[in-house]
Amino acid sequence: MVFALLFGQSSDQLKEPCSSLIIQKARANGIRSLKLTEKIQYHIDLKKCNNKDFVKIVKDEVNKDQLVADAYYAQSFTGKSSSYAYCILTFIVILILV
Amino acid sequence: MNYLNLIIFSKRRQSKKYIMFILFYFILFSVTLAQPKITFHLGGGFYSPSLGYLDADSNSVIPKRTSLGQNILLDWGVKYQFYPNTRIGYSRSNSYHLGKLGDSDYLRTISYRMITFETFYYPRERMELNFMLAPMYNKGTIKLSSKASSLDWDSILSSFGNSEASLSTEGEMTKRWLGLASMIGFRYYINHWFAVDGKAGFIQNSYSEKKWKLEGKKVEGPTMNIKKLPVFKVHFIFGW
Repeated sequence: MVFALLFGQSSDQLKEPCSSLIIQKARANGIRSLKLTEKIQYHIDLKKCNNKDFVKIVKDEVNKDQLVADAYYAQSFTGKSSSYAYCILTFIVILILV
Repeated sequence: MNYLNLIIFSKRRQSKKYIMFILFYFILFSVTLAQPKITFHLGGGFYSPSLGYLDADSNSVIPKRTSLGQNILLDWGVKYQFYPNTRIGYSRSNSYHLGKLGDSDYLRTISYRMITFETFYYPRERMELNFMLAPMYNKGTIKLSSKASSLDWDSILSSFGNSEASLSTEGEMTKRWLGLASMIGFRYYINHWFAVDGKAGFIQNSYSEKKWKLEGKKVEGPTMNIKKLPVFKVHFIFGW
């Protein structure tokens, strides 16, 4: 089964930079799921890809998804982090007034 | 009967596999989408300190300075986001004053060095409000360096066939003191890897003009009134 799966893969598709595994991974899991070496490879693959419209779409999609994910994870401000912020605000107000 | 048991056994193994598969993907996705972020920033700041005896107006010995030496700070730093709302990092704001003092080159540096603790949240996509508190360990340096000729060096070098030596002598007096920075900032993400950040707040210093160090000796330094300074900063953030 293992060999069948391995040989069943299309090597041409893997060599094609536009649909490389790294680009697929970045699109599926986000750019930050890539290691540093993978990020370099991701940019190399995008550079090598001749379909510039596709490159633009991938870049926009990855960028937007990451911004949405970042905003989602930091949209709530509760617990210790908010208390910390209130302390700083109070401290700055005191410094302004005194 | 044995065949039925085999089917049940195989189905249990399959369901176990599915659970493992779901768990694996859940962990993978929760980690990958919430990856910690390292950011590097470059930028500048504006402040208005009272640098007594480091000013050409109050001290005729000191070379004249521009607003770059008086009001402008040059900043850089590194931050690590270890939690969705929290960052820790090292940040540095430097003030420089360059000039000529007699035949010597004069360089005065004040480095505000901060260990930053920052919490933040996104009121909207791409927009971030951040709150920073940073203990500081600051350093002031006054350095004079001048070109000086040495007859002894000249005689040695001429014996080897050289013409003359071009040596420089320099001295440096330093002072370290503690401080605290507190700031509120607004950041706008242009890309997921690039943002512009503006901050406003205060820098407090426990500076005293006593106990500057020059070649291991304690000397009196300039009287600077930098106890409480309002500061405005603009940073360009690069992250990955």
